Amino acid sequence: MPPPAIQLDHVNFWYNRGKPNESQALRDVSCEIQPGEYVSFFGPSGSGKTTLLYLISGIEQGQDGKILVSGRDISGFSQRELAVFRQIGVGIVFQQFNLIPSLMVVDNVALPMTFFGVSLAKRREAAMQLLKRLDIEHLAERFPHELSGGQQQRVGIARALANDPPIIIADEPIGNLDSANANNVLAFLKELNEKDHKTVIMVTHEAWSLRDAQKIFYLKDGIIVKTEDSADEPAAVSLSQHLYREWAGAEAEKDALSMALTHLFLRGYSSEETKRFAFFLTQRLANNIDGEVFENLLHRPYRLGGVGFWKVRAAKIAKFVNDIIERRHEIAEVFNDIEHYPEVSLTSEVERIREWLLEEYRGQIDETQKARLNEIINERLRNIITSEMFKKVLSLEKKKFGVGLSLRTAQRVFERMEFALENEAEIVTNLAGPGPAGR
Amino acid sequence: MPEPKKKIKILFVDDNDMMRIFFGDIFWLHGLEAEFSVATSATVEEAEPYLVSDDLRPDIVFFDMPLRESHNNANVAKMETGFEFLKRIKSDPKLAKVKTVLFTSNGDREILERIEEVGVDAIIVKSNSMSEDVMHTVEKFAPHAAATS
Repeated sequence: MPPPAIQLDHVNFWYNRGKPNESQALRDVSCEIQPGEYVSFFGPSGSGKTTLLYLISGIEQGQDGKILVSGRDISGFSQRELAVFRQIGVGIVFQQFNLIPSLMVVDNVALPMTFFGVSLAKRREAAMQLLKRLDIEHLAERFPHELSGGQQQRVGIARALANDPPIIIADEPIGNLDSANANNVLAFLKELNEKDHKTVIMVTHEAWSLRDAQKIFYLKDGIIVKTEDSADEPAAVSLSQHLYREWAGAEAEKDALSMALTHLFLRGYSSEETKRFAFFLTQRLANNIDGEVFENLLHRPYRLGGVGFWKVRAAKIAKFVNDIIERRHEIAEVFNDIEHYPEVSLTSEVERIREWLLEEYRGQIDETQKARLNEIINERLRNIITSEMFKKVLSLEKKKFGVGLSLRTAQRVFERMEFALENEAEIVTNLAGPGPAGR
Repeated sequence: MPEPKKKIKILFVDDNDMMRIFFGDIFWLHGLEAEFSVATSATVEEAEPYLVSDDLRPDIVFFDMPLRESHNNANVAKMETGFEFLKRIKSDPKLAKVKTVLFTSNGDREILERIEEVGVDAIIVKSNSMSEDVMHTVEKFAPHAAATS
């Protein structure tokens, strides 16, 4: 049997080691990634995911513990060997795309080939092949600023493939993309794994993007807290997937009503979440499941087979659907109801909550802080992160991907958030206006 | 016995992660680890410790424009930050011998004229030949080191 593509053995890593502001990013991390596997490191902001990727790809130097690539300890690599590994051994796809603005698309893709004595004409020829594979050969002579985010990420992927590396490392590759483009990227990573037999290592904090990973390492506070193999799914996942398969056999009819409701409730959600919601809704409308099961499926975290709605949202939507079923509305009437249903999209809900959390805060927060705050509010609402993690990220320094609030402010915001979660019904009514029951 | 040669210290400041990896590898793939040490920083704030330390002080600084000040304003890379960074080097007597190289994607004439006024030792616009351009510039400023390659 060949050695693992990557093996980490009791790896620890600190930032500012030995200084007063020392912080430990990874704690005793051990894991193996086999050649040809598709694995994911999943965890919230600040859990050590990116540090791990940088160690695996030889960008960051190890401090404690062993990192082996194809059985070889990279701490013994010369700078030259490490550089060869970085340029030929791995291809990195970044969240921020990191294209060079002054180079045409084709030259951005060809850039990693520069080192290996290939003429410019040959480099461009090879780059064109990659662009063709990603369906963007028509963009070859454009510059990055002329491209959409989705197109830029395709260029980023093509560049990662330039030297045909056996390992593809993707650092939050869909973090800056809408759901259609995110789906394209995930589909392509899957293809690279299945058809090209590349080892794919993806870091993500979005549960739905884990769908193709064969192995998932759950990271929290720099520790791998759980490893999940697709062969041994947790009970909840197996159960809902079992139901999904069972029901899907009868082919859920995508009628106009469930499509319209899905469209209404799932604004701001990914297409995977939308698909899952539509499926559960169809089952509910066909009375295959009762209101309580439906509500539980909506509230259950996505990674456990649910949709991951916030509790009060799940209850509200379940009630709305119950009303429709019980009152046996005519289709036309239901559409009329929908038109007047003042449900807000998740994005504006999160922003309202953020504003409410900071209502009494006198200081200023910048755009990055807002974005991070939105991200963790969203994750907390969807039950992806615990209240402790929420609190920690609030006061974590910004350069460590926290929000960077003072301890006192973080404590207040945290208390307010917990209060909101405990008193959901009241808060949400105030924030989002009256629901259908109030009309 | 001849004394071991001192390594030429290079500092590279650019917020593009891919560029920071690429820049170091230009040297390492040419097998120059005995001649050079290369440090990289994503922001001006990260670069500062290299400028103030007697041990780490670079011989040549390559910097991008626009530049980010710190991770605290992660979304804002500014031209002005690049100018301020260069002025900070130029005004520090301890850094008088440091060679400065603007290494940018921005070929805007006005920007280049302004940067020359502040006083930069070389300008490289990122192009298909950027790795050769970097090596040539380094050879020019540190001939005794690059000559061995």
